[in-house]
Amino acid sequence: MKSSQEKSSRRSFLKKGVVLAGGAVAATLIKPFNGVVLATERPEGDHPWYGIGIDIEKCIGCGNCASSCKLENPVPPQPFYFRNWVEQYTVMNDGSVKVESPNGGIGGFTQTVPEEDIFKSFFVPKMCNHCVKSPCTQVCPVGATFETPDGINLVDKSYCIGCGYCIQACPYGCRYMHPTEHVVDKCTLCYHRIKMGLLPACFEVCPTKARIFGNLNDPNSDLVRFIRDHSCRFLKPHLNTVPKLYYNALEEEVR
Amino acid sequence: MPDQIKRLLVAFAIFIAIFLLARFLLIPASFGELGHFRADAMDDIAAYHPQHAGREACKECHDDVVEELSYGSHSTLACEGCHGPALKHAMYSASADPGNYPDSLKLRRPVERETCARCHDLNPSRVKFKADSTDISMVRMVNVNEHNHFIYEETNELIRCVECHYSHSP
Amino acid sequence: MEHHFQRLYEVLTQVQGFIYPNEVELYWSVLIVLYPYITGLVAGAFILASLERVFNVKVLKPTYHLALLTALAFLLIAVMPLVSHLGQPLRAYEIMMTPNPQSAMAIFGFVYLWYLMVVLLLEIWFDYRRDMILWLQTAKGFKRLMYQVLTLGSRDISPKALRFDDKAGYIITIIGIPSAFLLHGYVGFIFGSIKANPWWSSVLMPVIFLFSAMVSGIALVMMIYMVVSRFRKVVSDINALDTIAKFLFYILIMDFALEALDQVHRIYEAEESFDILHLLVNGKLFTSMFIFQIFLGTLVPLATLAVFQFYKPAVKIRRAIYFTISILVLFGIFFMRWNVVIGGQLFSKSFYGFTAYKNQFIGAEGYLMAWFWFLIPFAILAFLLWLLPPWKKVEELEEDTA
Repeated sequence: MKSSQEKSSRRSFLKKGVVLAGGAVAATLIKPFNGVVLATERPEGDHPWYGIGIDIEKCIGCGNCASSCKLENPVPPQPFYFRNWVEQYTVMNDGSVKVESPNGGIGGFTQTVPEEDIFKSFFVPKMCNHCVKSPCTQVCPVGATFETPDGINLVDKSYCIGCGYCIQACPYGCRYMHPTEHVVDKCTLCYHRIKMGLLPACFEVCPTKARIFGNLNDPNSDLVRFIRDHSCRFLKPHLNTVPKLYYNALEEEVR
Repeated sequence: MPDQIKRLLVAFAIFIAIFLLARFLLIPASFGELGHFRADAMDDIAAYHPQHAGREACKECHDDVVEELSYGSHSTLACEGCHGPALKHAMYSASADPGNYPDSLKLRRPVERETCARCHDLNPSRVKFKADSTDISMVRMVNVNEHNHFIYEETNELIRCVECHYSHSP
Repeated sequence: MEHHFQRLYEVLTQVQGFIYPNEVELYWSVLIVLYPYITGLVAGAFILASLERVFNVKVLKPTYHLALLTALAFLLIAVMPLVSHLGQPLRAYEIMMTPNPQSAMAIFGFVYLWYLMVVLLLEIWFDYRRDMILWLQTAKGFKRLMYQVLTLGSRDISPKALRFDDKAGYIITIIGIPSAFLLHGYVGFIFGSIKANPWWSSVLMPVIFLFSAMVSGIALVMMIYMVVSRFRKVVSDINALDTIAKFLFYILIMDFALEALDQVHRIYEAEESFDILHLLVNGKLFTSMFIFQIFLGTLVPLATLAVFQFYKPAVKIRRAIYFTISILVLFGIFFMRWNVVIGGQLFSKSFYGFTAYKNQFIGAEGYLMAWFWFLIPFAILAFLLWLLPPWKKVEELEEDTA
C-alpha cells in the first residue's frame, strides 16, 4: 500500500517534471528570455539621449573642468559647493589608499606622497552621473527634480522646497544646498549650452579630451564609439542607479 | 445616520473642499505635462546665459593666435581654459568699439607659474607609467618649484615660465 | 552668510580622510533628529492608550486620556521641525499639492494627515463629545467658545448617541493601531530606503523605529502622568505605573533585540561599508551610542525593570525609580535618533573619511530652535489638559447597557 502510494507519487512527480521541462522549452522557443540586466529604459521618441564618457587615462588633473563649471554656472565660489570636481587617488605600496580633492581640484594638484611609496596614482573627474534610475529624483517629495526627455537630471529651483532628501539619496555626493538660494543645486550638464548646440563648459575646456559628450541614441556619436572601444564601468554599479557617465580605466579603489 | 456623524461629515467635506480648491489654485501651470514635474522648468534652465564662447568665437578677432595654437603641442587646449570665460568679451567686441574695452571685460592673461604647474608640475598621478605613449595626455613635467630657479630682484619672485616658453606654441 | 561660511571653513579643518567636496556641510541637523523623535512619541503614546481601549487593560484607565492628549499635543507640531528646517519653508504646501508618489517623504504627508484627522482627532472627539456638551452648560468665555466650536454644534447626549460614540471610538482605535504603526514605520522607511547610505539602508529600520517609538512614547506618558499627578496634588496610581513599567520592559527587550540584530547582521556580513561604519561607531558616535543610547538609555532601565519583575521595593522608591527610568529612556531614544540621523551623515559616501557636525546654539537650525520645538508640545498639552481635563470626565455609565 505504502509502496504503491510512493510509486504513484513518484510517477506524478516525473509527470510534472516532464510537463514543466517541456513547458519551459516551449516557452523559450516562443519567447526567448529577454530580461536584460542593466537595461536602460530609454524613452520613446527620436530625441537625443545624452551621456558622458570620461577617460581616466587621459585626465591630467589640471582642474579646468572644475573651475570652468564654477565660472559658467551660478555655483558659489566657496570650497563646499561643486557640480563638478576632480579627485586624486594614490594607492600606496602597502595597499592603503589616499584620496585628495583640495578645492575640488580647482588650481591643480600636488602629489605629497613620495614617488617611491606610490603603487599607482591617477585622477578621477566626478560630476553628476545623470542616472537612468536616479535615486535623487525618486525621493523628491514634490517633483522639483526630474529627468528631462533627453536624459538630463535637473532641479526646478523655483519649486524645490529645500528638504535635502535628494542630497541624502545621491550616492555620488553630486548635490548641495545652495547657501543663498536655499534650494538644491546640481550639474545640469550645462543644459543652457547644449540647447544652443554648445558643449558643456567642462567638456569645452578639457585640454586632453578626457571628456566625451554625446548622444547615446546615435550609434555614430563619439560617445557610443568611446563606450564600444573601451571597457567602461560605472561608479557603484551595485546600487543599480544605471549611470549615464561611463568611465574608462576606472579602478577598484574609486568610490 | 446619527447626528454627530452628519456634523463630522460636513466638517470633513469642508476640509476636503478646501484641499481640492488649494490644489486647483496652487499647482503650477505646466506641472505633469511631461512627467511629475513642471515642464516649464526646462525652459527656465535653458534660458540661462552661457559664459564660455568656444574657440571659434576667439578666432573672429584673434585668428593669428588661434592659428599658432593649432599647430603646437598645445593644439588641444581651449583658449578659455587659461584665459577664462570669454562670451561677454566676445559679444562686446562684436557690438562696440573693440579698442576701448572696459576693464571688467578684459580677459585674464595668466603668467604666474601656478597656471603652468596645473598641467606641467611633476606629479606621478599624471605619468600613468606608460612612457612609450604618444597620447596627448602625456604631458612634459618639471618640478615647478625647482625648475630654473632664477629670481627677479625687484619683486623677489621666481622667473615666469613664459619668459622662456611661448605658451601658445611651446 | 559670512558666519555660515566661517563655520564651514572650521569644519573643513576637522575633516578626517577624504570626503566628497559637497559633503563638508551636514544638511540634516538636530531638527531632523527631533522629527522622528517627536513622531515616535506620538505613535508610542497612542499605542499605550489603545492598550486600555482595545486590549481592555483596565488598570491603565488613569492614563488613557492623558496618553491620547499627549499624542495629539506632539502630533500637532510633529512636522514643524521638518518644515522649519526646509530651505524654503513657505513652499512646504507643495508636498500636499503635488506629492511625488515614489517619494517616501511625500506620502508621509498623507500618512500624517490620516493619522491626525481620521485617527487622533476623531477618537478624542468621540471620547469627549458628551463631556464637552456637559461642560458647555457651565463654561464661560473662551472655554465656552472652544466647546461650541469643537462640538461642531452637536448637542445629542441620548444613550443611543453615547453608545454610538463609544462604538465609533472603539473602531477608530482599532484602525488607529495599524495607523500608528504605519506612521512611525514610515518614518523609519524614510531613512531605511536610502540605498546610498549603508548606515540607514536596512529593512529593519522601520521596525526598529516602531519599537523605539513605543518605548519612548510609553516612557513619555509615564513621566507626564507622574508630573501631572504632582501638579494636581493627587497620588499617581502605582498599579497603573507598574503595568506601564511592565509593558515598557517587554517592548524595551524587543527594541534592544532588534537593534542588536541589526548591528550583528552588519558586523557579520561586513560589507564594503563595514570599515567606515566600524570607525564611526567606535569614534564619533562612541559617547552618544554606547554611553547615552545603549548604556544609560537601554541597559540601565532594562536591568532595573528586570529586577522589578522579581523584587518590588517600596512604593515611594518605585515611583522615584520609574520617574528616573522614563527620563533615561527618553534621553536614550533621543540619542538613538541622533545616532541614526547625524551618524548617517558624518561619514562620506566614498567610505574614505568623515566630516564633523558643528551646530550652533542660536539660529534657525540651532539647539535653541530644537528645544523650542520640543517644549511647545508640553505647552499644547497643558492647554489641552485645561480644556479637556481627563479627571473631570463623567464616569462611564452605560457600559452595562451596551
